[in-house]
Amino acid sequence: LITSALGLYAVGNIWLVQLVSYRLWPYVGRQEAYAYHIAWWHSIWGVLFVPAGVVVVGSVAMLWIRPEGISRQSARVGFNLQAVIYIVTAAWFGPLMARLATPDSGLSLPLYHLLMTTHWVRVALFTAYGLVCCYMLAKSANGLAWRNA
Amino acid sequence: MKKNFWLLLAIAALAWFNAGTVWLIQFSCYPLWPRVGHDAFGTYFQFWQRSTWSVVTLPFALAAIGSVILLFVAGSELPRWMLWSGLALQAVIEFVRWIWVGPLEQQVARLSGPSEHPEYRRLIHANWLLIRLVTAYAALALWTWSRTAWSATANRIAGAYC
Repeated sequence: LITSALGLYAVGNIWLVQLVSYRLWPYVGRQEAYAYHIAWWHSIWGVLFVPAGVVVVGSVAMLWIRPEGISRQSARVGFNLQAVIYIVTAAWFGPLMARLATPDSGLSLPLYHLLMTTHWVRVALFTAYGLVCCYMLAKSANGLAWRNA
Repeated sequence: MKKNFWLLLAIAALAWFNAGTVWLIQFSCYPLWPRVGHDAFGTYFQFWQRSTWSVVTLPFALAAIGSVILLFVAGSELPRWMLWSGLALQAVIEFVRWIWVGPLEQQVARLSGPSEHPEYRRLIHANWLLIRLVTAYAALALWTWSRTAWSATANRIAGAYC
């Protein structure tokens, strides 16, 4: 229940990031862009990464411990989605984010446009995990009932 | 499965989505405002207002509408106090957003940037109340859904053994 709740919380996070936070970056003053970018990075640690960590732990735990009605396959799909999220973040978005702004030239627009285009992949992955959470919530309620009916 | 089971699941999902947006606004979006730059803040704020419609205003409105619909379609397994509490929370959330947080955002924008203005501190303070309300509603929605799901399960088990 906690994993699913925080999985859906993360969907709210990622859509706000994509449709609001990232799209505001070009509106920041050129001189302030680098400090703003660094402040953004520090601001998301507690509110994004801590709940995301709980979701990862939950998705791993569900490979072995699952509520009644949830198949091992569903738990595997959830875990695989989480794994892909972290792989693409570490391999692509982390390095891209690190090069996005510099103290001298501010925000790099070509890299910013690349980020905006490719970040839809992460949005899709987080949303897919949110849907898996809804599916597992429904199955956990239905599964026991069907099994005993 | 009853219709209200799926409605409750959708409302719970939406409530946690909204919790995700309101916590991020408090810990990331608002704290970044003082770093935007005095001259740039006007256009930055205009875009902020436009862009939050689809990802904040609309999901908040849908959650409020859902809590009203639930009052009419919920089954007898759900206590009425739970449904009324959800509706009351949604009413207070919308009230705080439109009457308190929204105007405070406008006041901060009129001052051309937050910096150390008391209005900015009041906005942060007001948004804490919104966070408490939205998170409380998310917890209530999940609890309400769990109650319906387990009640349906218990009924089926009882039916199978009787």
